[in-house]
Amino acid sequence: MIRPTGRTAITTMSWEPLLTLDEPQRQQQKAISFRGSSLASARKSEHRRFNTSDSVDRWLWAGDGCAADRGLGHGLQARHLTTGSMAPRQPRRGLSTQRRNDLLRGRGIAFLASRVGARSSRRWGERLRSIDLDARQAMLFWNVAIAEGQSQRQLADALGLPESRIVGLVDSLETDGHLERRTTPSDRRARRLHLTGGAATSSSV
Amino acid sequence: MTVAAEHEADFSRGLKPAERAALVTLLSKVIAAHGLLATVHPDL
Repeated sequence: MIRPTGRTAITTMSWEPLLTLDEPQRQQQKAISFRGSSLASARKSEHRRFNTSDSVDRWLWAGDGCAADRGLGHGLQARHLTTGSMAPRQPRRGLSTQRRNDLLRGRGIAFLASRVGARSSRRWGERLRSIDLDARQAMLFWNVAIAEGQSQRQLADALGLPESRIVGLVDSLETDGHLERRTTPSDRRARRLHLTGGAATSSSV
Repeated sequence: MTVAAEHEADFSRGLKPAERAALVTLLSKVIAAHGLLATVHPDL
């Protein structure tokens, strides 16, 4: 139960809407009360009874600080301001300042990898076009070269792809003379994939 | 392997051999952590 004492509220273990709050404030309390883990961890520390004007701030920054991270703290901060409390904010938990600055300056790993990856893919495609291949064909060609004699199904399984996605690429590589399908006397249904005799593509790619 | 060698040289320029090896190790680790196959192109 939350009950008002003078300028601010005292929180105890229960999170029933505060009757003295107006409707937006009640909705905000309700929203906070449904915020799973952050609330759960905040509740653990909530055994401490808050009875000072900055107590709600402390609660907001308790646990994982998630309520504040999600912007849920602003309403209660505003309530403090309206009651004249100037409780100091606690530092944000989780992301360090260094990491936050790295992200803001484009030094996050995901961002850097995507930049390099996008450029690499574009340049790789340009290079392959000079020998009349695209990136998918080149990748398939390499996988055949690594282990010649696989069936299409085996190749598809090795790549973790449905065979239907392989067939079209094999067709195009066969049409262009880079690969050939061969039958084997032991199993005439299976079509084994081999590089064509010419080593031109292999040495070029 | 001409095109691949050129491409690799282009992208690893500026890196010392030890740095290149370290980058390969780290990227391989990231790929493994995401359950990706290194031999499969993203477009496939």
